[in-house]
Amino acid sequence: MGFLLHHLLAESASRSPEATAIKFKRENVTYGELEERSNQLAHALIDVGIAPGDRVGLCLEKSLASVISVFAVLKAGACYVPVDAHAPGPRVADIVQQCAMRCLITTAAAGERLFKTSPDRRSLERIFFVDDVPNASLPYPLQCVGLSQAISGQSKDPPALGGTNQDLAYVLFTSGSTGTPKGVMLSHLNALTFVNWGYETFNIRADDRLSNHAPLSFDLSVFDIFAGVKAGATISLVPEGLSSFPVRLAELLEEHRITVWYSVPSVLTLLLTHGKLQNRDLRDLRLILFAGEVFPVKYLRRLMKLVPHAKYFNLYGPTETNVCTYYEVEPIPEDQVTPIPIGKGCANTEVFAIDEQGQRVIGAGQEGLLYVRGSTVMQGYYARPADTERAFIRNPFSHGRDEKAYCTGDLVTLDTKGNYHFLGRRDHMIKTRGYRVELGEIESALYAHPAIREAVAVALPDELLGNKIKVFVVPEGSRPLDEREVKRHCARLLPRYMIPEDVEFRALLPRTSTDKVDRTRLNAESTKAQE
Amino acid sequence: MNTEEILIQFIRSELTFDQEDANVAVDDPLLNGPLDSLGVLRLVAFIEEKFHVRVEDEDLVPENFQTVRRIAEYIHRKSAVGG
Repeated sequence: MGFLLHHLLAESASRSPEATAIKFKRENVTYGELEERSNQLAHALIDVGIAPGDRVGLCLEKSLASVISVFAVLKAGACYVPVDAHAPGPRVADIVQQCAMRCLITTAAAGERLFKTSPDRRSLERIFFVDDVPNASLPYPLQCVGLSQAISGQSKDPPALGGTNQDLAYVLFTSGSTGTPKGVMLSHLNALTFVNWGYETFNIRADDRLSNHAPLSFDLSVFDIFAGVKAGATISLVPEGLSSFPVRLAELLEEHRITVWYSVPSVLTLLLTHGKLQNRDLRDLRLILFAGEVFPVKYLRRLMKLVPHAKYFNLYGPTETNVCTYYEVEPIPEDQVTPIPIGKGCANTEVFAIDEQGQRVIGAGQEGLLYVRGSTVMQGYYARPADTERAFIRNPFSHGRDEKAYCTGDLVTLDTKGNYHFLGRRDHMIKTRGYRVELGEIESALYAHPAIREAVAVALPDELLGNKIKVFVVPEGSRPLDEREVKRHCARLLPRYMIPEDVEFRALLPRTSTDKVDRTRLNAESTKAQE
Repeated sequence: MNTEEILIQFIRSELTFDQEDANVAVDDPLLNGPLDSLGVLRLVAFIEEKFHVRVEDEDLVPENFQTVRRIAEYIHRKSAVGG
């Protein structure tokens, strides 16, 4: 009886060692090979001193190595911390520092970008390189090792470690409103609560072929990899960048005979509008799951007509809880413009909404903030006790037991069928292409520029992206500042999806009666300008 | 300016932000750097408008966008058959 994520792999490898576990480009790895190689890497990690509870960074593109590393880190009793392979050096360094990362598995290119920044990285002792060990001279003592060198000669048997499902499995960093990202801590139990729900609800079987589109830093990947492995199914890693080439992506769907697809809606929209899906034989595609942002109804409707034999599910849930509600989409009437619901709570998870008067939302039309309770809810934010405390409330419906519920910050309403609908947020968190972005993080980055006196970021609704980001900048002094320089400055600190699309310079920003920046007015002006 | 120069100027001014990426040479790989999914869409919009060719969905494949040279070759092929 497995109680840790990597037990799922051990069980499937024992049942069907020859079955294909992972496909990537022209390479395949069987369950037996995945089990053995991750055991070997786990031993290599333990040999260099990785201890249970340590944070091991994975700064890698989609690859067989990335999946092997995930299981290896878990088997060493540590938790993996995915970092976007193309994130700027300062952001990687910030994540390393925040979670006191001791070891990083990465590529030469990403490693070199990290070396060029100079913040405190005392915790980092060792870097494993999946390709070549770079020649760069290191600014501080650090052991650099090639992965294949580290693995050779290691035992293929699993490390004999204990551990409980309360231990951390991974830490996912998401945008933070005050300028630095927050690390969401998820335990094996958190992950398995979700994985087991997904496995049961969608009846994932050994003959399924799941795609993995989402990067490791997105919790959608937890379903692809772990529900897939639990079933002994085949997981096809979608090469990064293939989303930019929808015809190729559609080709992969057909060639690999994908049965289960899970991604953000904007990728599906691109597939629909530019992927020539009508030319593809997608008879094996039985399930299309989407999460992370609102799927515009007009595109979803078209997709459902194009692939009518598949079942469609809208999944909802922040990184802090993974999926907590879900909704099976029925064919959408031609005249419907309202978005589809986020649905009802998953089995073994409780969701409820509380209105402004502190009352529970029980009737159709009532609005409130959504809360989540259950073993799917995170352990907290890494080393941020104040943020963690703020994120939880004492469950007001707990009948005396002192338990907590997580506040999603999402405003919802109930319909007559008991389904929740997403209404919006109270704060400045937005979604763009499914990515979570705190407008405050962009503003903080802008404020770091010496020639920027004031900056405000707003979100403009966009059909394809969900939201586009526009910033208003008040320059400081007479130093020349142009749009290109502002974007370049952002690119030095922020991931690509947070770089504003539009920059407008103002001498003054409009203010409210309480002297705060009038964001509503800036939003209105921007929306009008778009029309 | 020839096709390659026009493309390089667009990529430099609109799609790259790092100082290091600013020197884009005709044979530099674009797909793991300056061109992410949004970048490709923007580039396609620019190509269609600037060079009066229609980028078909089937043409939107990595081989045609790997380097500036490849993009230029693609544009010339399309222009030769009348866009």
